Amino acid sequence: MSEPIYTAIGTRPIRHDGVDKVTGRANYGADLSLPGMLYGVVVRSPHAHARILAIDTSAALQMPGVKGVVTGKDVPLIDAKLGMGEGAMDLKDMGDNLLARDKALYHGHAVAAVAATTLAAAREAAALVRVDYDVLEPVLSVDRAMEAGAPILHATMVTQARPPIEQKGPTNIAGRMELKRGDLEQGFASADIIVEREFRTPTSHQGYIEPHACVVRVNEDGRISIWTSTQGPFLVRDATALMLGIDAANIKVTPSEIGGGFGGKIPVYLEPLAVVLARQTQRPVKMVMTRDEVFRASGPTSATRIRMKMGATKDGTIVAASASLYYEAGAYRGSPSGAGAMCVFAPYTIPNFFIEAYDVVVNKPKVAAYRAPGSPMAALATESVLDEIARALGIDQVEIRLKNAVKEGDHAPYGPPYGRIGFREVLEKVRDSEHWKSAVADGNGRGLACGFWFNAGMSSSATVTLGADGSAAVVTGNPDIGGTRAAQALMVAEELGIPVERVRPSVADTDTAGFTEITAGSRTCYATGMAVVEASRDVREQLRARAAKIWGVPVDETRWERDRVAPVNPTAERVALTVPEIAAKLSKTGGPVIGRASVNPPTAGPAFAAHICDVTVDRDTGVSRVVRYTAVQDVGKAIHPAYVEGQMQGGASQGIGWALNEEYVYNAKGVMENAGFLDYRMPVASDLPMIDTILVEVPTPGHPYGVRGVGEVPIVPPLGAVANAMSNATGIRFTELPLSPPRVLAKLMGDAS
Amino acid sequence: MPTVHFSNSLVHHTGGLTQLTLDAPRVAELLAALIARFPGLEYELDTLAVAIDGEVRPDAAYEPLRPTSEVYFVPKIAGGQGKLEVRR
Repeated sequence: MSEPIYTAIGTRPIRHDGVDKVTGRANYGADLSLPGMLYGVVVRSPHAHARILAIDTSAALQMPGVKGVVTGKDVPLIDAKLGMGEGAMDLKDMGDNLLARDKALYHGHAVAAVAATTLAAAREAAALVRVDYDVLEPVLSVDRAMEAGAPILHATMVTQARPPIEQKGPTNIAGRMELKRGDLEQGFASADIIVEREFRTPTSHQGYIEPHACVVRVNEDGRISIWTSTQGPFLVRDATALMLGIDAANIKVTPSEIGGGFGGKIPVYLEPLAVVLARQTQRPVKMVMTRDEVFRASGPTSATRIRMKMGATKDGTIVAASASLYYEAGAYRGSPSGAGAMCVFAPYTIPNFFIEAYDVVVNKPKVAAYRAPGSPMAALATESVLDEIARALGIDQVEIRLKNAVKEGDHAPYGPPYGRIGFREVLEKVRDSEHWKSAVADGNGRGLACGFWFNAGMSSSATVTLGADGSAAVVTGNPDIGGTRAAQALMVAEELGIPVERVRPSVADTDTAGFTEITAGSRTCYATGMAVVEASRDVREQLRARAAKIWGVPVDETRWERDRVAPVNPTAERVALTVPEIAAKLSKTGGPVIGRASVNPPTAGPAFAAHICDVTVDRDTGVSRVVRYTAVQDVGKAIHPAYVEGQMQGGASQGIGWALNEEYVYNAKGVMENAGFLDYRMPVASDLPMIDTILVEVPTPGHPYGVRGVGEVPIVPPLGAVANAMSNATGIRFTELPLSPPRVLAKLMGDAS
Repeated sequence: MPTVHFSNSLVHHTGGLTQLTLDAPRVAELLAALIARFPGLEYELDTLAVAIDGEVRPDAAYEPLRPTSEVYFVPKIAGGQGKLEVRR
């Protein structure tokens, strides 16, 4: 089948929201102010684990300017399960995380909130809220959490286990799951080489630039307006309604521009508190987290411990593998351990495997999604062990991966067969790349690692409105994190044959846009894009009817031709009409034209990526530097290639930071000691080389253009790619992240001695 | 008839059965038949997504099945694909 020819898809126009962003005009979460607005400040626990004995708000309430105070007793106790992916999430947990009722479960856990006429007064009043605590021993690692006799965070917690396990009273193990295939013992018995290692990754944060922020207004009639920086305005509406026992029909959520999320702006932290304070005070309330609060109280991702064993025959065929994954959930159940289990061996055909994954609660903030949640840490283990096996067997790193790579029809470790996937094509591009074929500079090391992510589908809606001038407006409910407005405009331009500059994309509030799930799971360009394409085709069908009306012929005597409606039987008078020509006659042919569509497609085809990393290591200081980096990825079809490349470069950069420097540093009391960007070291532009990208386009069947999600998988390989490069450079196998100078130096010194 | 495959996490509820063919026009009827036969599956199936011929759907109840369909139950993915639905 020949490649489809596109005119707009695959081009690189300037993003429609670009000028507002580079000139500072774009409105983010904290930019809105309303007349009479109060400022809300959260009172946070100074202890990582403590029973709350009493809260005295009287001194705070007496302060001039203070208008309201809220504590856990002001939030209704609602016990229901929310289906949040792999594990149903307890609404009581969400309420407790919003405001601690009986126990503070991490340093920074919200225990009260104050609203005052100025931010300074609110902060001062927050300091006057007196909380009596019974301080308990904090549980700060999965090792401690799972020890017999460890303090229990939740007295009623039982392990949600698949398959079921014997339960012996309350536990910190919130969940356990298993996947297996074949005969592990026999598989290992047939191996010529077996490598077994244990890996550790630290708590790390998404590190979005914009802190959480919202403004809430409650009208006299009870209608609530929420302006907020979120990945999911409909989720904010529904979660706030559920947590507070309010009818969601009374809540309108308007998403602001969003300064990054990466999964971390899916949960709600401030909005319900601001609603309670606004209802209490009958004034608008604004709440903005400080960077310190973002680190201490919004979701980082799990610290992990992963034990991995892999066996292969001399020719590099993997014959058996086992993995035990222990993921910190933070204070409440719900780590991405299950996703880690499903991803850990997903790129490879392994006839015999056993995977077990544990979801473990600890006294740290409740983890949130972070770009391909759970997969990067799992890939670190798999790719490191595979690197070691290939080196031991003297097999090229690409060849061993190609030998074991999954292809269409192979079964994923979690069961179903893969459809059309592009992992082998990705590896072939790596093999043929100039980077892979180039020599490694003396003293440097090169690493290769691969990664897998599922990509989501889920519900999306879109409307496309045609103007009388032939321009178009497209409206969806997905906050634009990765350039999705530009991509949607390109889709409309492609379908209607109009210039992309004449398409105006926008993100609407929950009363205006049709229901749309969160901007997450790499789903927006795929699922919402599908709705945009269908809405555009709805416009095309309506334009055929209008042209038929103009010509006085039945609709089936018209056909769509790229940018116009043509008559099936042309005459001297009856010639094709372009979109602007038909648009100019809208009022005469029946009024405005609005196309609409809603979809709930299956999950997009999974994404595979492979990254090549060259590092140089200063053996005297342990300082390392990435000197060259190439990201190769099956992107399905790149709608706006520059933003696809941007996603790949962003994911790689975040992953490199995670590998080299980023970590929460806790003291023995469970207090994070580096809650700021000065000490929580994320890579900046000057730390990194240009991240080169190679786009592989294996279209996803079922999508009009073959779009595959692209936003998450690029963070999966970097941990392994960097670690393998460092091992290659130094001859030392690194199994614990981050590979910060002190850790690397200690290993180098230890190795020398 | 469609073939249903049970992961090792589910075979506990199926008496060790790893696959089964069942006459069902849609996923809803398939689930009802499975739960009638293996009541222990009810909670499990309520929390799992359904893969029909390799396509994973979190909301599959009314999806049609073909006589050759291969059906798997897979965990819904948390976090980045979070979905808000109330189960009381």
